[in-house]
Order: sequence, then structure tokens, then C-alpha cells
Amino acid sequence: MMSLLGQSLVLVGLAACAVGAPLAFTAGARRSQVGVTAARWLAHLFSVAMVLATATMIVALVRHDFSVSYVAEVGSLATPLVITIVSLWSSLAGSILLWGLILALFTTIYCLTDRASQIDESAYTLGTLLSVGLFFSFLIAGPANPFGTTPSPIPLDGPGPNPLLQNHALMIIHPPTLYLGYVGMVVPFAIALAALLAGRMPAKRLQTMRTWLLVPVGFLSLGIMLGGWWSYEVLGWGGYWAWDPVENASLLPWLTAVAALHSAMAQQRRGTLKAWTIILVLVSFLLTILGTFLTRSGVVNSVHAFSQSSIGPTILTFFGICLVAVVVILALRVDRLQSAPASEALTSRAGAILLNNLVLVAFTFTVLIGTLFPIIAEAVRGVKVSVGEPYFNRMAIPLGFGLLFLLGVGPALPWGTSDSRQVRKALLTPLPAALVGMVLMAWLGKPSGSLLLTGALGGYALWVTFDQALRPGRAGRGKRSGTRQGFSLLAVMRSPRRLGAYVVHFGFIMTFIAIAVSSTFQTDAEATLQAGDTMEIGEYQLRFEALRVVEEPHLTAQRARMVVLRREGGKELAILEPALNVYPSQREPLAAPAVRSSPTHDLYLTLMNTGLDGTVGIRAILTPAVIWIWIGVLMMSLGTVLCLMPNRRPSTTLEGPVEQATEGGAA
Amino acid sequence: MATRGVGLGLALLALLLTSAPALVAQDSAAVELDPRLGVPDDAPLSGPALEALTQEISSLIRCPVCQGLSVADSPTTSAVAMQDEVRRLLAAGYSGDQVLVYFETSYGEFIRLEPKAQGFNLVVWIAPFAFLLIGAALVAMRVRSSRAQLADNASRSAPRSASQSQEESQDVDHDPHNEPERDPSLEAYRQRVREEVKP
Repeated sequence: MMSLLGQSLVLVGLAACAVGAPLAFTAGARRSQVGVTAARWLAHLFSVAMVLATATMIVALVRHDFSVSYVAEVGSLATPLVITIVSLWSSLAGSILLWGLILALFTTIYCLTDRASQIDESAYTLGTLLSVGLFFSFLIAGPANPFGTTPSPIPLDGPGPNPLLQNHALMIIHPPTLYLGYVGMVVPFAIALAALLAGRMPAKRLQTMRTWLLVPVGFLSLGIMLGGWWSYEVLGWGGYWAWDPVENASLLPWLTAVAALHSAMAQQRRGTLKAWTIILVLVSFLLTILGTFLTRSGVVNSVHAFSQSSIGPTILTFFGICLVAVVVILALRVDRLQSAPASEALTSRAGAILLNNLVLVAFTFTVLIGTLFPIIAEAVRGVKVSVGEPYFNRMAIPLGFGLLFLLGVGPALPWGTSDSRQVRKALLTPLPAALVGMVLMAWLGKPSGSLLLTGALGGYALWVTFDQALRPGRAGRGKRSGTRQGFSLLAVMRSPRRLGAYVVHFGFIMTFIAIAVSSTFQTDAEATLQAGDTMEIGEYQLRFEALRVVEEPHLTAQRARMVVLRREGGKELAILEPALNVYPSQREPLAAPAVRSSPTHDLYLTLMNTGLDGTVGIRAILTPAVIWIWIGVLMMSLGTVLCLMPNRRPSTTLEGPVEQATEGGAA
Repeated sequence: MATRGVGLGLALLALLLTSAPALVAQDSAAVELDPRLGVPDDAPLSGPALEALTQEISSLIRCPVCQGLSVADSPTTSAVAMQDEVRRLLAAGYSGDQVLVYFETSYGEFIRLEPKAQGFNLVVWIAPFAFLLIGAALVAMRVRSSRAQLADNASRSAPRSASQSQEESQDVDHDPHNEPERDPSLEAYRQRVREEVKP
């Protein structure tokens, strides 16, 4: 019954897309307002169908209706309610359904907010969105159908969702956030493709595309961070980023989209790089589809193996179609988008943006080739090779330094060409901050070259970021009258986009420094302990008290009770209980580490094994500054939200354009 | 395929057999070493130097039962055993390279987390640099072709009023909504408007 209902709803969505997509394209070609309106209604129908289909699935999950194939696959009577709902995205078919839902909602939101001045621009955009919708609703209706009927006899209970996903609350928000980022890339893609098809990209349309690009970038930042945090809290190895192919897949579109945001700024300011910005946006979307393929096909060895399936070839075909379509449309139409002739001095902000794009795209290429190389090598040589953390770290760290350098120098440079004295002054002023940063890093006690470089570049970039972010507050007053002026916070707040851009930069610097510090100063200790034994790490003494076994409906947990004491004085600080969780569906127990976070460092305990004689194997890891990585990325997401807010106009126009600082010199 | 699987199984078994006593008698030199290893290249190591090198080498070895983690990172039992094996070999004076080759002969090239820089693998090492170089060359060409345009712009904006150039020198971004669209085809009109509003 539920199967039939769900299946019909998906088919309604499929039909809406199948009719809507060609209708929108024809309406665009004929400039028919009626056609566009009809296509919009079909887009809303698609949305309604997807919302109802997802609701049907959730109801089926909650009611443990095992006649629905997906529920039989991931449901279990013993699973708590929240996990049951969340298991909507714990396996392939359900996650594709969620994908379709988000895609449909984005399409509807785009329709409701569409302010394109020309019919063909909105029509082509809508047509592209519905075409992508057509593919995903086809996936849901056919190859990845979650609404199949379970062959009888219908089981009385199911295996429950993948244990890894039940282990931590972060799993509730990490996948949907990432999907919002991944799927969100489709809207700027559609706008860019429509601009090519229509043969023009007016400033207003560019602004729309930029706004729609900010949405997925913000969600991707957040989603990637939540994934890293989840991996840190759950996987038990004390790290947060392993250059896993699927992690890489989420980073790739982020990199190109960030490059596009910057080049779009050059386009807005100087009319240059028009085609280049569009190419970056198109590539970002293609990378999300490629990423989906990598995740879903199982061609790469990944921690996300739970979502592997047979739909790989279908997605690869879709990727191929998109790639060909993009290349052909680009080849036919790109010359219609006329850019202003190149006018970038290397020592200007426009020049810095060029370099920023170069580094980001090279970064993308490196991560892409590193991720795909095992597949390529196996095809060419027939030998399995690995490209893992050591390779990526070696390649990515210099590029990361390049980005941090540009993030400092770029915003310090003026937009236009100006005389070299001015440029020199702008570049030299923040140097003391670089020195301070370097001294601070050296003071931490283990001065390595990369740490000192982080300090220098980070300090420089921090100075520039604050200077630029607060500039509207100072610019409005005094300068001309020569007095030492007051500071106007109001003026800063009045241009949230500019402020947001620098908040993003600030978050990036914070994250960068935190990663450098945490990876340099990480220490660990391992010990096998009897009850009452102690081990020491850093300033802590850890005493193992007892091992207890906790039976929960869906898992059996062995928990080692560890008392955390201060080494000097023996003051009791906390009790941590690292655990090994045994799920009925899994042979190997899963480690559930226990973490004690503080602003300066994290104490991270993993229960590695338990002996028959009551001993436990404990691994303790002390990592400084980890918490600032999460906070830094969170700031990047918050900054992105600020960038989405409309700029407030000054109440009087008399204040002049000086205070209308906008569009973030940065983001 | 099947033979490789069996080989891997045997290698794992051998590893378990050799590493289990190693856990107990780590310091005793009497431990049997695999004859394939040959003669150690380096002097025996101990203390912090041994720990540092163990960490370095085992971070280059893939934990065969994990998802892309190195032996140094992974908390699994087999990874811990492999790391002990690395430590034992380094302590006996084998060089890092010898240890890697030893693991490679047991597990295949897959075990190296960083692809060996030889043969076809050079692609993954060289391509990013080639890409960066080509990109840099393109940027350089663009900057060079910009010079003429910039000189042109500079001569055109020279007669602008003092206050305008001051605003620009303060580098406060303008709201693009208030700015005319930078459509090059409109440049002629813009020029005319500029002439007309000139005081």
C-alpha cells in the first residue's frame, strides 16, 4: 500500500519533469510567457510530489512497514525513533530520495524568487533544473527505487541501519547539510547554462548566480566540517580528514565554487573573466555529479562504502551526458558572452584574484587526479595502487600556503592600477603582524618551518582581514577633515556582504592555523591496563577503574570507565568512558571514542580491545586546538550567511558612496 | 585473483605468527626475521629516534583492513601489529625503504599510501605541477596583454575629478547595483556621458 503510494508520487514527479523540461526550453526559444508559467507550475508539482513521497517514506519507516523494500533494508523494531527517521539517508535508495527532495525544493525556491529580466533566461534555467530533476526522479523511480515491494513473506523485523550511522548525533545533520551543498550547486549551474544558451549574462543575472552559488558553498563548508567532526568523534583514530575519496569528492566542487565566487567579483567590478566564471560554475556542478558517482558506485575504496550500489553506471552515463552537453554548449555559445579586455596588473586585487583562481583550480586538479589515479592505474597497469594521505598532504600543503598568502595580500591590494608607492605601502603596513604571528608560533615551543610560515602568513592575513572588514567604519568620517575620527560600527553593519566576506576569510585563517598547530603538536600514548592501573599523557594521568557491559536494544556496549586526573596533585577532572559497541548486524565491534574538549586541547580516548582477564587496551591522544577547526569552519558558514543578506542603503544619500562598501572585497 | 587472495591470507598469517611473539619479546634480538629482508642497510635504532622513524614509516603504510587509513593512524588490532613489525625491523637496523619494500612484497603495491614515483605512477606526481605551470603561463600572458589595456584606461581616467580619485585610492568598494553595468559595448556612451557631466 505504502509502496504503491510512494511509487505513484515519484512517477508524478517524473512526469512533471518530463513534461516541464522540454516545455521550458521551447518556451525559452519562443519567448513564451505562458510556457514559462506552465513550466513553473510543473516545477511546483514536482516539489509537491517529492515532499509527499518523502513523507510517505518517513511514515513507512516510523510504522516499520516492512512491506516497503527500503524499510525492510534499513528498519528495525529496536532502533530508536530519531534514528529510524534518520535512516532515511542511511542507505542508498533513501539518500537518493532525499537528494530528489532537496533538488525539487531548490527548483521551487528558484521559481519563487526568479527575477530574471528576460523570459529566455528564466526559461532555460528552469529547463535545466527540470532536466536534472528528470534524471533524479528517474533514478528514484527505477534503478534506486526505495518504494519496491518486499517479496513475501514480509519479515517481522529488519537489520536496522548501518551501525556507523547510529553511533553519533552528528550523523543526523551531516548528510543533509552536505546534500544541500551538493544539490544546491545545480541552481548556479542552471543559471550559467541558461546564460550561455541565451547568449548574455547581465550584471543582475550575475548577482543572482553569485547568490545561488553562496548557498551551496556555505552548506558544503558546514557539511564537510560536520563530516570531519563526525569522523573524529566516531571512527576512533583521532583525526578528522583522511583524504578519503568521498571527502575529496565533497572538497572538489567547494574549491571550484570558491574560485567562481572570486572571479565573479572581478567580473562585477571590471567586466572581465565572464566566460571563465561561467566555466567554473559549470565545472562545479559536473564535479558534484562525478562525486556522486564516486560515492555511489564503489569504484574507489572509501569509508562511505555503505552507499555503494549498482547505480554507478547510470550516474556515470548522466555525468557523460552533462559533460558533453556542457562542452558543446560552451563551444557554440561562449563567444557570445563578451568580456571586457583583460586588465589585471599582477599587483592589484584583480591580479590576486587571477592567482587565487590559479591556485584553487590547481588544487582541484591535484585532488581530482589523486582521487582518480587508483582507477586509472588499475586500468592502465592492472595493478592496485593507493594514493593516500601522505601524497595529498605533500601536494596540498604548499597550495594551502599559497591560498593563505593570497588571502593576506589580495585584499590589501587596491582594485585599480595605482602607483607602485601606494602598492608598496599597502603591502608593507601589515608586515609587523606577520612578525608577531611568527614569534607567537615559535613561542609554542616546536618551531618547524611550516609552523613559522603559518604564523607569518596567518598574522599578515589577520591584519589585512580586520583592516579591510572595519574599513567602512572609518572611511565615512573625518579623513578629509583631518581629525582622528570615531569609528562607526553602523557603517560596518550596513554592508553585511562585505563584512561576511571577511568573516569567511577570518574563519579560514582560524581553521588553517588550528590545523597546523593541532597536527604539529599531537601526542599519543598506548597502554594495556588492569583495573586500578594508570597511564600518563601530557598533563594528565588516566586511571582505569572498571569495564562494564551495557545492553541497549540495538547494541551491546563495553565501556571502560577512565578517571582523568591532573598529573600534579592528582585532582580528579573528569570521567571518560570510551566504548566498544557491538551491533548485532556487525561482526567487528566499533570503537566509540570519548573526548574531553577544552579551548586549548582535546583529550581523546579510544578503547582498542578488551582482554579476557579484564584488561583494556587504551589509546590516548592529546591534540591541541582541535575545537578551533570546527569553530573556524562554522565562522566560514556564518560569514556566507552574512554575504546572502541584502545590503542596507544609508538613510541619507548625502553620506555619499564612500559608505556603501559592498560585495565583500573578498568572499 | 584467487591465488592472490590465498597469498594475502598466507602473508597475514605469517605476519600474525611473526608479530605475536614480537609483542612479548620486543627487545630480544633472537626474533626470527624473514629471510627475504636480507642484510640491514642502517645501524640499529632505539629510543626516540626509533619512535619517530616508526611513526614516519608506518604513516606511509596502508592499513589493509581499514578504509584508507595508515597503519600509524588506525586503531585496529592488525594495524597495531603491523606498526610493531615496522618498529622491530627499524630497530634491527633495516632502513625505511627496506621496510616498505618488505611490506610491498607481502601485500603488493597497494600497501604504499604514497605511490612510488616511477613508471606510470609519475603521472600522479608530475601532472599537478604541469597543470600549475601551464596555468601560471596563462596568467602571465593575460597580465602581459593587460598592460596595453591598463595604459589605455589610465589615460582615459586621467581627467577625472580629484574627489573621485581620492575615493578610489581609499579602496572602498562601490555597490555594483549603483554602478553602470560594465558592458564593453556601452563604453562609447559612458564616455559621452562623462564628457557631458564634466564641470
